[in-house]
Amino acid sequence: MFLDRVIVRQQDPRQLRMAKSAAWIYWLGIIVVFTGTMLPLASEIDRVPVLLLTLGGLLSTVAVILIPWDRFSYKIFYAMAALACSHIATLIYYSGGVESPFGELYFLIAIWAAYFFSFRGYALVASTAIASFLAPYFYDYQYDVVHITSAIIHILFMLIAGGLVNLLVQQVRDRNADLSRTTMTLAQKVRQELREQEKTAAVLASVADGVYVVDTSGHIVLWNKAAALITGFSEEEMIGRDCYGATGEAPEGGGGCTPFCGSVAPLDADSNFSSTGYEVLTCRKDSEKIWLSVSAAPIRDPDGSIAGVVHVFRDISEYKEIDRMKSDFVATVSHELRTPLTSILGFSKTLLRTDARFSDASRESFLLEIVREGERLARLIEDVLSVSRIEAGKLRLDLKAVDVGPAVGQVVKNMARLTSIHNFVINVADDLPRVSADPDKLYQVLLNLVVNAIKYSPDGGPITVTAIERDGRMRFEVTDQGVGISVEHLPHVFERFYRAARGKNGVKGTGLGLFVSKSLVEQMGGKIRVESEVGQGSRFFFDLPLAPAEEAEAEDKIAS
Amino acid sequence: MESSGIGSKHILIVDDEASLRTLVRANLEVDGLVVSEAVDGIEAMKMLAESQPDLILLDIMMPGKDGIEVLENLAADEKLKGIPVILLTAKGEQEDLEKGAELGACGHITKPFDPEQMVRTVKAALGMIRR
Repeated sequence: MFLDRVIVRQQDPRQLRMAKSAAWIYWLGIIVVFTGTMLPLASEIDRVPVLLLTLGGLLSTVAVILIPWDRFSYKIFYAMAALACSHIATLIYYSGGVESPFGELYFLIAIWAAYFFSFRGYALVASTAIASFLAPYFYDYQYDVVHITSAIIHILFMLIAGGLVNLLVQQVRDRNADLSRTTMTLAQKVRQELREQEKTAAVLASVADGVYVVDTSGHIVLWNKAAALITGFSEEEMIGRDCYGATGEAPEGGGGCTPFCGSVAPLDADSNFSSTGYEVLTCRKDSEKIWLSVSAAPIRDPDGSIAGVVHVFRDISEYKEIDRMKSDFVATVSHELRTPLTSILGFSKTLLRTDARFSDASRESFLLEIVREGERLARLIEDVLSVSRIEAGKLRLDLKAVDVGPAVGQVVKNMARLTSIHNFVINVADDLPRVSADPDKLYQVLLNLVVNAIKYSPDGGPITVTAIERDGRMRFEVTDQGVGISVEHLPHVFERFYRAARGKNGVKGTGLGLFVSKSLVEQMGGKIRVESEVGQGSRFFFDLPLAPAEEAEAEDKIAS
Repeated sequence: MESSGIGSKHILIVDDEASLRTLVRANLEVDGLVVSEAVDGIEAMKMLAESQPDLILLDIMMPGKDGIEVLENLAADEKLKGIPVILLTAKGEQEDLEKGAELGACGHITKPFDPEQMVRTVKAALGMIRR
């Protein structure tokens, strides 16, 4: 147990110096005592103890030299053990002779006491001194002087070496105590640091914005969960990657993809970089193009130099798309407003021409054109107003019990006037119950659907408007046999500003009609849907609740 | 697109808006001009391949093939490049007008327009040819 007590740290020059001094002083003490004991014996020409004790001294020296310093306790222990063995051997040798064996016994006791107590840190002096001073009394008288001298030298060396070992032991203990304190503080700090890191990591993982950090060489050192979600690239794929080359593969024929780091120049440590925001059109891992809005800010070392840049980004593709749709919409609406206006003004001025005579039939057709275009203008304005009301949540409904037949009839009558190539089929039974609806809004919805049916069957054909009672609700349907809507456009036709054909096949519109219709139907408690097949035509249908019976009856009485 | 006789000029109106075509036709026909209609650039090019009018009234903003493309096609065709073209434009299409002028359009009419003025512009353009 004493052997492991003292571990000398070789990295600590002071400890090592001290341990070396202690060991060598011990060794010197041993040699001096040995010499002091041996010389008189050598003159006696008894060579056996001389050889034994010489061997012990040599072994002791070897132990001091060979055993490494970080095993200081072992070094001292084996040095002493070697010496002790030679003394035991001498003791045994003497035990058969006339001389007193107690001198050798004294050395054994003194050596081991010194060893133990030096590590104990006390009583070294006392034990060594007592043993040394008592020893001569057990010796033969003729060796007195020599033995006392050697004992005094022995004690001196023991004192110095013991003191050094004491100091060493004390220092090592202090150091160990310091170390364990430091270790504890460190552990605490590490735990705290880890908690902080966990907190930061948790925050980074839970934010909806993509966050990544690049070092000064432009390599990505942090890539959070949202970044992975937005771009499709996992943390493992991105850490260590050059940010200025990091982007998804460009879609086929879709042009290049700007790297996630955008066009921000690689960092110059001296640059006065503070923070910057930019938008970048880049590509996801699956090659889908996305718009990112990125803000970048430098991370500075305590000395103020830039250590890296943190980028926070979000996917703004949707906003960009809405933006594009809005610009499209403004352009479309102004065009859509101007077109009927051009006709209205043109035909009015034609009627007012003084230099030309038009037949009555022509004049009537001009008036019809004016009405047609005027109604188109009114519809457009109504739709635009509806959208702004819907978006502001200010759409007001005036729900009444509405007769289905006349409602459908009015729409068809007004629309049939405007087209000569379509024939309308009204499929409404006479005895249908009334629906709960805002009559103006119901008219607007049916009108939008019929106008769409006309627009999307440019070659004419039948347009059927149906109303039937189904599962306690009223089902309205508008069916055409026109161009139809392709599968890719079908889910989007009710979206604001969405136009399936974008005017490619000559169909004009604002992309508002169906959005408004859907909103109005939903406000009235219904749901609008569409079925369509390219080349076969489309069928738009919606359900509205029936008017409450009491209300219907009450209004019946008033009417009668 | 047959000419209705000596002296009666033949006008082709290209516009995707039916009511505008009707408006132009009514005003020109009352002044004794022969009018044919095309709903877009593609149809116009087909009709032009068969017979050549004395003047083309060409809308710029059209789906499919727009007015500028029609002008380019006309300029590239020996048989058609001599036909005077008057562009029908909306306000704010200045860039297109300049491009149209470069491609040889001899004038333009801005929508909404006064029909009487339109007829005068067309007649003047035809008169210019006569000179």
